[in-house]
Amino acid sequence: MDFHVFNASYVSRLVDGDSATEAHFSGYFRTFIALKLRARRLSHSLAEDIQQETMLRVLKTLRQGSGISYPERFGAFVNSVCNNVILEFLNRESRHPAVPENSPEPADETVDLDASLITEERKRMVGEVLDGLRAKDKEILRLVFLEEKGREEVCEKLGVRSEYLRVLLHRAKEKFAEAYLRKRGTASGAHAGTMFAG
Amino acid sequence: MMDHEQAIEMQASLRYTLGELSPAERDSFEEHFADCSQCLTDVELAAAFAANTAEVFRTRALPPEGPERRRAWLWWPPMPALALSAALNVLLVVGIGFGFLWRSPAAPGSPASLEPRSVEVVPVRAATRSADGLQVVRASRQPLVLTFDLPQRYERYFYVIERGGSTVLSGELAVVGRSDSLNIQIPVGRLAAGEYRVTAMAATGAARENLGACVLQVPAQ
Repeated sequence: MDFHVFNASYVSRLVDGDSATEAHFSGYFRTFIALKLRARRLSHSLAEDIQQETMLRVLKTLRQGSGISYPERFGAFVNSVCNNVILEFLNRESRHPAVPENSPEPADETVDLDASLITEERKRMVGEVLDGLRAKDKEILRLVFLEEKGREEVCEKLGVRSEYLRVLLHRAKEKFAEAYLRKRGTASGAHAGTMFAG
Repeated sequence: MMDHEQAIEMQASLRYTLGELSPAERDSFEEHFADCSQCLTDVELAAAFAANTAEVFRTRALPPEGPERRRAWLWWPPMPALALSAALNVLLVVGIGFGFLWRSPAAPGSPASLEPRSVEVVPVRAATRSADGLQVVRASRQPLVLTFDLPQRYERYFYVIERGGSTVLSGELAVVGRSDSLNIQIPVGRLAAGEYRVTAMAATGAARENLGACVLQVPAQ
């Protein structure tokens, strides 16, 4: 697998508008920002706005502003810009007037952030991993991923040690990763920024 | 800032995906994997694994159609799966007939919560093999109840709400009293704009029947 490294040459190509570099920048950081926002359970519509605003500000700083001092930490710079954008958007949301009591509940759009990761092919791969497990191990994974129970609660409920849980989760995830990368690796060279695109 | 070796040792990608890192650890890990495509790929794979695992368990909790039904009922998972369905069912209320009172989400005991409200009730016809396609229901801002005829009494009742082939909500419902219809209140306000397929099913023992399905169009807010 080809792992990318940011450096002065990359930043310079991005400033100059090199199309391949722009495509990588877009794919890589759209995925990075989507993962950040998923971790914060922000709505899908807010996620789109934050992604666009972050990318815009980064390019503006590079092309019209002062640029960046440490191009090898370009990702950390984008992360920093994204954190500021998130704060601004959340502050803006909190200043909105209170919703009237009898109005319909706001739509829960967080389902969409995960929906873009779910495909029939990946479900089939996960299904094969699960089918190779004992019933108790399947139940552990179901409690963790479907019911989103904490590890301590799962260990207590099923009488397993935390080390066992840690190894099980890691191995199951790695089996899926192997299957996915094996399939993608033979086709187009798997790299970061491909799964949210479907 | 967390370095790569630390991230690998603490299984940061999986723990990040499960929300197990403290806010400080989360921020530190994000600062790292913004520049580390290996860790970014790990996080992406962990997120895909988490999302697809939940979806596989969610869809496997449903009784399948056709000749697999007998095997499926032998496989039917115990209470833990139904516990999740019961939690989701908080959103879905089964009423009797067309003229029930609906309580608003306002504070209990407040005047607004005791006011009767009109609701939109839409009968959904049973699934057929006709070429007409599914009935289309366009949701408005009013509470919506889909009602399905019950040709007979069943032991169990289920619903599935899907979008783009993926299940958004599913679970089991209870029919109160001796009703000749299954009435499902749809949480339209909690659905993103778009098109959904809503299916109601019932079962007695190993026998399973599709009560009806419709396409639900949810407008943008």
